[in-house]
Amino acid sequence: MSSAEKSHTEKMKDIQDKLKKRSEEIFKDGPDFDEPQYTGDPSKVFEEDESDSDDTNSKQSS
Amino acid sequence: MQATHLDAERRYELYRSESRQYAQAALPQKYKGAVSLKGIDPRSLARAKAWEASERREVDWNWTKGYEVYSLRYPKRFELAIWKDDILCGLSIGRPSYNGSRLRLDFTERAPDNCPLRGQVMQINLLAAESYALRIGANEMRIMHPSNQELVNYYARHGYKYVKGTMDFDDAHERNPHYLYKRL
Repeated sequence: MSSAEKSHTEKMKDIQDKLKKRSEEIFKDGPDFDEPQYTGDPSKVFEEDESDSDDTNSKQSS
Repeated sequence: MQATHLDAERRYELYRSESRQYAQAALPQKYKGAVSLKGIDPRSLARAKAWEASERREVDWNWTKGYEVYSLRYPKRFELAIWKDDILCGLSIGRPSYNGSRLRLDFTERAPDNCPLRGQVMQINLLAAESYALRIGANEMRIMHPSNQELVNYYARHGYKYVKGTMDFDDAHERNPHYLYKRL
């Protein structure tokens, strides 16, 4: 295995470990029936992100 | 479609797929085999169409038209369809900032009627979105435009902090958006 492949594998392992811990946090109290039916504002879904304003032509394309 | 756009779509589809697999694997045991995390496809959009007729639905958003535009405009987007067996329980879309340092969740919705994962859809979505954020190397999650204090309280229980925008929840012409954020 090359060092680049090893680095990638370790990175992915790190992500999976973090998710496992995070999952325990999120689900520790079981279902939360206060959950909202939706999150976000449909009228603002396409709003420009603050950090996109400096380069609107190339955003999301590279 | 420009070649760079197409290339981004292909590359990030791989990240979306990988991150969904990671989130799926990290779900508690009770979900294994019954809950599946997928991308948004014609089947899920067709199911979401039925939500529009629900009297319990609290929001007006056309997933078919909205997703069509969103997916074309944002090739690096986060997208998620949450299924329990053959029932669509939730859909979600988001996108990374230009420099990729954070992921913003733009819109998430749970099935308004008879959702077998009620109370768990936003939790599952949170895990999947954070998985995608980590996969693309972002170090912050943002949940945009929380509509009320209850929603702020809900996400605060999962470690999110509220940033007030120019005004408050009802400011339709806000100059600076309000959001919740969490460092990853």
